[in-house]
Parts: sequence; C-alpha cells; structure tokens
Amino acid sequence: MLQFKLVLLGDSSVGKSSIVNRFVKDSFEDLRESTIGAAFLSQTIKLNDNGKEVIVKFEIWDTAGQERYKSLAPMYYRNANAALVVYDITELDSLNKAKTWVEELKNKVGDDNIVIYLVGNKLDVCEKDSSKRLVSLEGAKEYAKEQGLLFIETSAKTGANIKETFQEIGEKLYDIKKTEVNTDLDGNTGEIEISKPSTNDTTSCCS
Amino acid sequence: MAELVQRIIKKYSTREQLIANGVWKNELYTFSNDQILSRKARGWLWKSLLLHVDEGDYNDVRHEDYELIAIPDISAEKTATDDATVGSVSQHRGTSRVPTGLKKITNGIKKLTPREVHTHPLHSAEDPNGNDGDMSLEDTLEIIDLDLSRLLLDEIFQKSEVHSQMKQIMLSYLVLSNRSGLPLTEQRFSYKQGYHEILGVIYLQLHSLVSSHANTSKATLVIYSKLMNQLAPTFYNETNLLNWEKNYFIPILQVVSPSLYTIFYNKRLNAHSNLIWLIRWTRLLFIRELSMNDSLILWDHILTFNYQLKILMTCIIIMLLTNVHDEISMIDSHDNDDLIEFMLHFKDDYAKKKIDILSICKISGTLCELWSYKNLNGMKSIVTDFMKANNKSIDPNRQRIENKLRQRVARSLNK
Repeated sequence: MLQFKLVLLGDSSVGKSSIVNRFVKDSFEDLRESTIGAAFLSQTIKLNDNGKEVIVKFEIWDTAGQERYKSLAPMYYRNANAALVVYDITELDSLNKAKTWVEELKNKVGDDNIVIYLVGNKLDVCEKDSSKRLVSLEGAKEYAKEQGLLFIETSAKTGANIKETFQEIGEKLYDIKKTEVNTDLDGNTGEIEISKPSTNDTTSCCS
Repeated sequence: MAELVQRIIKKYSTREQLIANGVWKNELYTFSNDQILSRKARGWLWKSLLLHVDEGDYNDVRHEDYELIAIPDISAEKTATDDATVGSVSQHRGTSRVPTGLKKITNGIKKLTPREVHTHPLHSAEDPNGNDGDMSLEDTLEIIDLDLSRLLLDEIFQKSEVHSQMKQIMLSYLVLSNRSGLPLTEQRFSYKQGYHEILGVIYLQLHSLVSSHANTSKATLVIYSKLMNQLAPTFYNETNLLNWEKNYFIPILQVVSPSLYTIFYNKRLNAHSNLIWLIRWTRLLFIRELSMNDSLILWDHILTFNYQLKILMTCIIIMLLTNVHDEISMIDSHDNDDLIEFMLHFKDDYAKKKIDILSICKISGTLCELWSYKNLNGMKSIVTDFMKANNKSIDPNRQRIENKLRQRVARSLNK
C-alpha cells in the first residue's frame, strides 16, 4: 500500500473541510463548524497500473483557513506529498489568498517535492446562478497553467469532481514515484511508503 | 436551580469557600448524583465566581469598564465606495458566505479579505505581547459573522437576535482589549477563529439566567473578557503559544512523565508538530476533546483563576494524557503523524475510556501548587501514582514492540 500525505490550504469558508468530508464520508452539511488548527482524516483509493491494482492511502490534513502566520504554517505542509489549495469561485479574494499559498509552497517546499492542485470549489452555486461566479474558469485555469499546477473546479455539495480530484492526485503521485517504487519493489517485498519531502525553510520553527 | 443555589449559599458563606471547597474539593458536584449542573446553576456559579454578584442581585451587573459597543452601520458608506470603485464587478458581489437567514444582520458587508492583499497572509503581524491586531473593522465584522453563522454548539445561535447579540459582545470585547482610544473605524483588531466558540459556551450558561438581553450581554462580556484576558495572549498569539510550549508544557511534561515526554518529543521527530493538536486543545479549552459536561467541569475550575491559566492548562493536558498513557504508548511512532492523528481524534478514544474528570481537576490543581514550590519530585510521584492506577502498567517499550508486530501481521494478511 502506498501512503501519501495531502494537505488542504485556503481561505476560511471556501469548503476545505467539506471537500474532505465528501471524499472520505461521501456526505455534506450546509453548516460546518470552523476548523481550529487542523483536522485529520484518511481514505484509500485504488489505482490501476496496467491491470495491477495499487492501493493508495491518503493521510489528509485539513487546516484552518485563518491559520496564516509564518511561524506555524510549515507545520501543516511539512512532509506533504500533495497540497489542495482551495478557493471559492464565488469569492474573488479567496483566489488571491490561494495564490499566496501557492507562492508559499513553491518557495518553502519546491515544485519538485509537492504536487499542487488548485481547486475552485462551490461549483453548484454557479450552476444555479451564473451571476454568482466571481472567478472565471479561464482566468484560474491560465494561472494554474502558468504556475504548473493541476486545476479543477468542484462542488463538495453535489460531489462533482471530488473523487476525480483525489484519483488524479493519486495517479500523478504514483507516476512521479513509480520508478522509485519499482526500484524498491525489486529488492523489497514489504510495504512501500513514498519518501516524504521536507520543507526547505530552515528558519521555521519546525525545521 | 433555585433550590441548588440556596443550598450552595447556605453551605458556603464566602466566595473563597465556594472556590476552595465547592469547586476544588468537588463538593459542588456531589449535590447531584450525576455530577451535572444545570445551565442555570452553572451560569449562577460563573457569575458568583467572576462577577462577585450576590444571589438576589444577579440581574444587576455593574461593571462600568465593560461597555457594550453598538455595531456601526458601515453598509451605506461601503456600498457607495463599492459602486464608485468596482464598477460592474460590484453587481456580482452578492454572494455573502453568511447563510441567507442571517444576511439581514451582516450590515451589507460581503468580503472576508481585502480585495487587494496588501500584506502577505503568511507574514506575521504579531507582537510578543499579544497585540497582534491586523484586521480592519469591516474585515473583523465579516469574519465574526461568518464564524457565528457556523457556531453549532446550540441551535439558538442560528437565531438572528442571538447572532446580533453575540456579534455585539464580541466587538465590545475586541474594543476593550484594544484600549487604543482611536475611533472604531480606525482601530485594528485581532479576532481569531475560536474566540466565537469560547463566547458561545459562556453565553449558553448565562442566557437563560438573566431577565433581559442587555443583562445577558453585559454579564457575558464581563466573564468572557476576564477569561480571554488570560486565554488570548497565551494561546491565540502564535509567538506566545510557541513560548508556552517551550517554557511550560515541555519542561513540566519532561519532569512529571519522562515516558510521555519521550513519546511526544522524540528527538528524531519534528517536535513542534505537537502544536497541531495543542492549538485546538488550548484555544478551545477542551470543548472538542471532551464531552460538554466534562469540559464545563474543567471550565468551572479554570474560571476560579486560582492558578495561572498557562500552568493549569499544562497540568490538565498532562493529566489527560496520563489517563491514556497505555493507549499512547501503543502508537507506532515512526513519525509523529500517527500520534497527532490520535490526539486530533482524542474524543473518539476518550469516549471508550471513562475519564474521572473531577480527579483530573483536583490533581491538576495539586500539580500547580507543587510547581509553584518547585517540588518536582512531588509532581512526578503524583502523576506516576495516577498513571499506575489508571493504566495497565505494561512496560511501554514492550507495548510498542507488540504493536509493531501486530501491524506487520495485519499488513501481511492484507496483501
């Protein structure tokens, strides 16, 4: 079984916890209490590698939107294999906040060590009323392309694209590490755990 | 409630007796068989402890320093500004994240963060003294609205009049704690998520006790301010939180339970990651970790302010950890993630193992006393005795090896 650490980052109330809850429990609540500090959940998915079934376990760290200070931020994304940077497509400012998280991750962790997925949530709101959309699909997609990020729009409420997002992350991480995994498999029949990157932030409290 | 209060008043002639015997010697909880005080009784208790109000006088809270601030109506000014500067975009800015039923009390404020981000959100604006206000009035009211709309402690918080009342109390506290003297619109505020839940717990105990909204608001504001004066600077300011862990939590844990210290602060691991769970434990004063009744008993003790909050919190956390020492010892700690996962799901495991919360409070108080006298051996001895009585006392190293073996077998079977 492969194990990946995944962290969710983004502004308050963009739907980070709802995305996790939809993925792990396949449920949705209109009102969710604020996350204080962080929450932890795990879920497994199956990948198909040329007929061979591969089980991937995600350790999901769901962070509080207001946790934004430099001294503690690295605690959350340290050793993460992937980050879902979430924004609310009905709130322009939440994309700005997402961009600063992307910048932070790129500076502190590095592109090579973490897969960053930009996720625009609350698609259901705009499907009902297109005037509610304040972040254009094209603009966000272009930004993601410029930055080399994976990108998708989701709805935690309807479940749209939620499973697909995690499936794609699992496949992407598996592809990236496949050579390393196969090499390891040749000489080792035990459980394989993907090696975890560390932050480059030597000044952080967590280094 | 009246009967219980009469019994308490008859038994304790002074506030000091109520604190020493009623709360810390746990006599109060023996008045009812199930140790549960009603909200009204607890509301009365907290008012007696913190407002020094006599039984017949608790509708009349006279604390001139605690002024309730009216929520300013900044919607008209804001709308004009939006129309002038945003142009066509403003037509679309109609999607407040506050639920529809509460929109009428949001003063028309729609954005959570500034349209243009002037400071990096990861840049620390904190100062070590706890004055870390960096949000405008508008942003502060927006996030308070948002958080209050997500306050699920009780259904009453979904009522718009309660929402308004809570918002007013919160803003009044923030202005009080600022003490800047600047006009309201020029002040910067340091509201943090979690403030609202602490306020919610206090409000719940008081709202049915007093006769009017104004009295509830005033009493809640005074009690909330007295609690937050200790809680916010220590646990909501990140610099101070790091210092608390370094100067209090780690040294005391190391002294009283070397085995727990070794598990949580294994040198191979990223020690500071313990703050991931400590943030929630400390900032919310255990309300997401324990049952509400157990949390409120802890709050009764905290609100006596017999001991410094940062020491008492340390001792309570250590006692809660000691109570599940065996379970913690069994966690495979090849990295800290499993341990943090356990701590973030403490409530699930705690539900399986009954906690004697009164003993934990009592012993935590004793540990605080001993710490003040630097009687470290005494502290260690008490914790060791408690651990032996509440755990199976199997060698933790042996448990860890057994656990690893179990996990290997499980993995083999899953292949």
